[in-house]
Order: sequence, then C-alpha cells, then structure tokens
Amino acid sequence: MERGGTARRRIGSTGAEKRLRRKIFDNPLPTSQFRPVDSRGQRDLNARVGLIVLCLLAAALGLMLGPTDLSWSQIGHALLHQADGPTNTIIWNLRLPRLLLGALVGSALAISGAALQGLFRNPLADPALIGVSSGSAVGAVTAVVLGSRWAWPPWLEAWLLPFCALAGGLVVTWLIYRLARGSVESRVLTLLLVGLALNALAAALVGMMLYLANDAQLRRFTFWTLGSLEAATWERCAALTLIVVPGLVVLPRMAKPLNALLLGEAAAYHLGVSVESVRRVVIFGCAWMVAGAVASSGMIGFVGLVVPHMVRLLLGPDHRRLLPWSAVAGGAVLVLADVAARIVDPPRVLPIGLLTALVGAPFFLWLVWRDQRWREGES
Amino acid sequence: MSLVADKVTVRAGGCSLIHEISVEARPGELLAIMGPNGAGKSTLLHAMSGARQIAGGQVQLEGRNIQDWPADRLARQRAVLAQSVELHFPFTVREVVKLGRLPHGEAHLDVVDEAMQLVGLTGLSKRSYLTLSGGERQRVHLARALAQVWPTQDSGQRVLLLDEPTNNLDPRHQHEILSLAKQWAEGGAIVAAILHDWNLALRFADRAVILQRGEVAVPVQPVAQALTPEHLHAAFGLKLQALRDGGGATWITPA
Repeated sequence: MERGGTARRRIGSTGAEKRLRRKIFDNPLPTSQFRPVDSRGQRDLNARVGLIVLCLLAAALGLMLGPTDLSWSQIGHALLHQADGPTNTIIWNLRLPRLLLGALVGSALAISGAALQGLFRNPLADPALIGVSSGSAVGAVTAVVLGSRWAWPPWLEAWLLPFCALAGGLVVTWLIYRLARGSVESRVLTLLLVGLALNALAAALVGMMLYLANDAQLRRFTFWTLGSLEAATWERCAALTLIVVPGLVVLPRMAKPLNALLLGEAAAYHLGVSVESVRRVVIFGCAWMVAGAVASSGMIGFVGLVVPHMVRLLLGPDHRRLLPWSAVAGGAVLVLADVAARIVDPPRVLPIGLLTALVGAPFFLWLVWRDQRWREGES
Repeated sequence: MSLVADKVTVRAGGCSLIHEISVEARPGELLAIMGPNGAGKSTLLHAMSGARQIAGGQVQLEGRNIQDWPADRLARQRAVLAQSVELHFPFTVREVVKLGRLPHGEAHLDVVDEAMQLVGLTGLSKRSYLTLSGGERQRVHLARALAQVWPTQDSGQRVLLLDEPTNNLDPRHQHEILSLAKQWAEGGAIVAAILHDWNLALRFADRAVILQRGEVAVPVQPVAQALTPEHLHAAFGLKLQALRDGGGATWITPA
C-alpha cells in the first residue's frame, strides 16, 4: 500500500520526539540478560531440506515396498512401461495411484489441522472439532446400511459411500457454523460447544444405523472407520485432486490473517482482518478437504493433529511457512504410514488409521507432556 | 478531525454497559479515561475503536461513522493496545511486533525495528514471546501498536487507543510509556488511555473524563479541573487530599 512518495516523516522529527529518542538511546533501558537465540535462518533451511528428503524417501519406499518388493531398475523400467507385464501393472495400477492418493489425503488432513489450530488458537485442535469427521461417518454408515436396500448400477455403487461421506461431513460442518452464528462475543467458544453437541448427535445417528446393520455391513463400516488406501484407483485420485487442490491454493492465502488471529479476535479486527470471512473460508475450506479425504480413504486420525505440530517445532508458528510445509510433510507421513501398514504383516495390509493412531497417540501424549512442562517453566 | 463518541450506548445481555456517553478525543492531546472497576472504560474504548457493536449513538472518526470504515483502512490509522492479549504460540518478539504492519503490506518494514527500539525491546527481538515477563509482553504489544500507526507520509489522522497501558509495568516503564504516549499526541496523533493512577494522569494527560456505572460522571475537561479530590471522591468513594510539591505540581493522596 505504498502510495505517492516514499519519503516519510520519521518519528524523531519533532523537537519533543528528538528529546525522547535521545533520552532513550543515551540511557538504554535494561533488557533481560538472556542470550538471543541464534538466527532461525540456518535451522529453517535444514528443516526444509529434511522435509524434502522425507518426501523423496516416502515416494521411493512407496514404490519399492509391498507384498512384492521391487528393485530400482524394475521401477525405472516399469515407469517407462518397459518392464514385464505384472511389474508394469503393480507400478501403474497399484502403487502409483496409491502413492498419489496417500499424498493427497495426508496433505489435506495436515494443512486443515494446521489452519484449524490457528483459527481456534489452540495447538491441540483437530478437524473433528468442526464436525466434519463425524458427519462423514454418518454419511458413510448410511450408505453402507441403507444403500444396500436398493439396487444400484455398479458404477454408481462404487461412488455411493464416498459421495455420502463427503456430503455428510459438509452438512454437519455447515450446521455447526450456522448454529454458532448468533453470538457476537467469544464465537470460538460457541463453535466448540455447538460442535460438541452435534458430534454427540452424529455419534448417536451412527449408533442407530449400526443397530439396523447386518454383520457384513457392520464389518464393512468398522473397517471404513479404521481407514485404508486400498481403494486407490486413478479415478479416485482424479476426484480427490479436484477437491484437494483448490484447498491447497486457498488456505495458504489465509496465512497472514491467521497469524493475526493468534492474538485474539479483537486484536485481529484491530489489525484490519475481517474475522468472520476468514473464519468462513478456513472452516469450509478445511471441511471440504477433510471430507474429501475421509470420503476417499476412511477415517485416518492424528495426521491432522500431529503433523502441524511437528512442522511448528521445525519452522515456527508463522502460518506462511506452517501451512504449505504441513501439506508437504502430511503427504510424506501418510505415504510412509501406508508403506509400514503394507510391510508389517504381508500379504495382509494393516488398516492405516490403526497405524497412525498407534504412532500418533503416544506422540500426542509426549506433546501434551512437553507443553505442560513448558508452561510450568514459564510461570 | 477528532475521534468523537456521541451519546454512545452499548448493550450486552439485556443491560447497557455504557449509556449515552459522549467523549471527544482531539489530535495533539492525550485523553485520560478514568473511573472505578466496571465503570465501562474498556467498553467505551472498544466502541471507539470500532470493535464493539453500538446500540445507540455513534462514533465518528474524521467525520465518518466508524462502523462505516472498512476494517483494513481503519487499521492503517488506528491501533489499540488491549488490556491483555493471550498468545500461546512461540513467535519471536520481532514477529509479534511485525504483525502490527499487517494492514500495510510490505511497506516500511524497517518501522518494526524502530518501534522495538522506542519501547526498549531491541535486545529481545529474537526471544520467544512465551519466555517473556508480563511487563515485557506489555511492551511488545505496545511496540506492535506503535508500528501499526507509525507516522509515514501517507498516513491520515492517527489514533492510538490504550487500555491500561501501564499494566504489569515497573514505575520506570510506566513513566517511559506514558511520556511516549504524550509525545505521540504532541506529534499530532489522537491518543486516549485508560488509566488508574490519577497522579500519572495529572502528570501526562492533557484532558480527562471520569466514568461511573456506565455514565459520564465528570465530562471531558482539562486534567487539573477533572481530577480534583472532590470529583475522585465522588467516583471512587475514597477520601482524598491534594498536595502541592515544591515545583508546584499537584499530587493526590488518600487523606
């Protein structure tokens, strides 16, 4: 917003201000005796390089490991369609779409977690707060239980569950947002309370559907809640790309307002942020991406919670770095988790949500414990 | 060009927090807003900053209703130091101060360091905000507010609203901050500050208003006439006397 000439009146230009400056500089105020922390620059660079290496590692392992381990040269040939038939099929029909789906889902979950933690000013917030996961669960269980009562054409049946999960997640988020709209003060608190109530309601609806379900349906839904990338196909990747990419473009644009929001809603308003519109964009942007991710791969917990934390430890809390790098790290972490799920008990594949929870929950505990110690040290 | 509150009423939960309060803050002056706890001082300040919905009356800046100002345009001219800011993320001091330049995009970022220098934070610029003491945090947010409305050639009428700026500060910093506020007023800014210490107000403010139970008890007038033992006794219910020191300055102490 540089307008006109750039020569500006410096504060020290009036006599009184000059006197004040002199007074301050001639007689510097005592500052605390702490040694300043070394510049973030080098650490930042190391962290970024590390995250990129993590991505490359994830991509390489994602292609190499599985029920059939492939060598570098096999992968290279297969990528050029010059390997033998089965290897080509493994790479092009199984591992590449699975890699892409994992990266998309992980990025969507992690960047949404980072943005929501900023919006709620709580480093322990998670996409479940805005009801999107429980809404998707309602949609999914409805599709599983009631969907089989009618005959669907096969091509439609494959899309029924993802579509219902996407719709369910968006509808519940929209309801929470609408119901929380009335209050002017402490909107965040109202959102949390309304979210709590609607999450409970959604859980009851899921329970009701399970009551109606038969054994096969029960099993199918249970596995859906554990999350899996088994259904990776190019069509699914394409659909999810259309959902995730707009979010990856829009959310980083909210980085500066989110930084201001960390100071509180009033302070953000005083800094010129239109709080309501930022809240709307972040909530619905995240709901859109998370619902898409859940629809295509089921419930995968802890990625949205833990990955932004990891990135915050490495790169600091500035959302201009945090949001894009959370997306990068989230994709890598989920692909690595999927690799682990494939090699633990071959040829069976562990549900990936099970794995992220097994690793994520202790990590989360460690974060809480560390946070607690930090706060005690602070006071 | 002043910041005018005209018969402003703010309601919350069915009762009015402030009722038909009229106050004018002029450029070049430091206005002290005083009154006992719960008198509506912060509510008034937030109404004057545009952050608070107003039920009756209006607040005008440069002759225009403050509710009609676009938030980003207003933010280039008006900064607020809140009573308390809760920040739980490990930003460095400089990053927090730099948030004050948010409304200005990338223009004049060197202002950030000057603002930190002015409030004596230079040595702390790379420290994590979470490791600071209460008084240091207060100064960080003051530097942020100053950076936000730092005088540049294209800034219009600048407004600085301070809600208990001396909170958590040691006596020396209380004096530093208030003389800074006064210098900014003398530089042409509109400065209004909620203060509790009437002796500091007598020393630094130009005019003062006393609120009581959501209404104006003593209308805005020069500080020596507004802050008399009688007025303060009526507002605070404390028996007071005025003493004069050798230099002719007035001190108000409990009798």
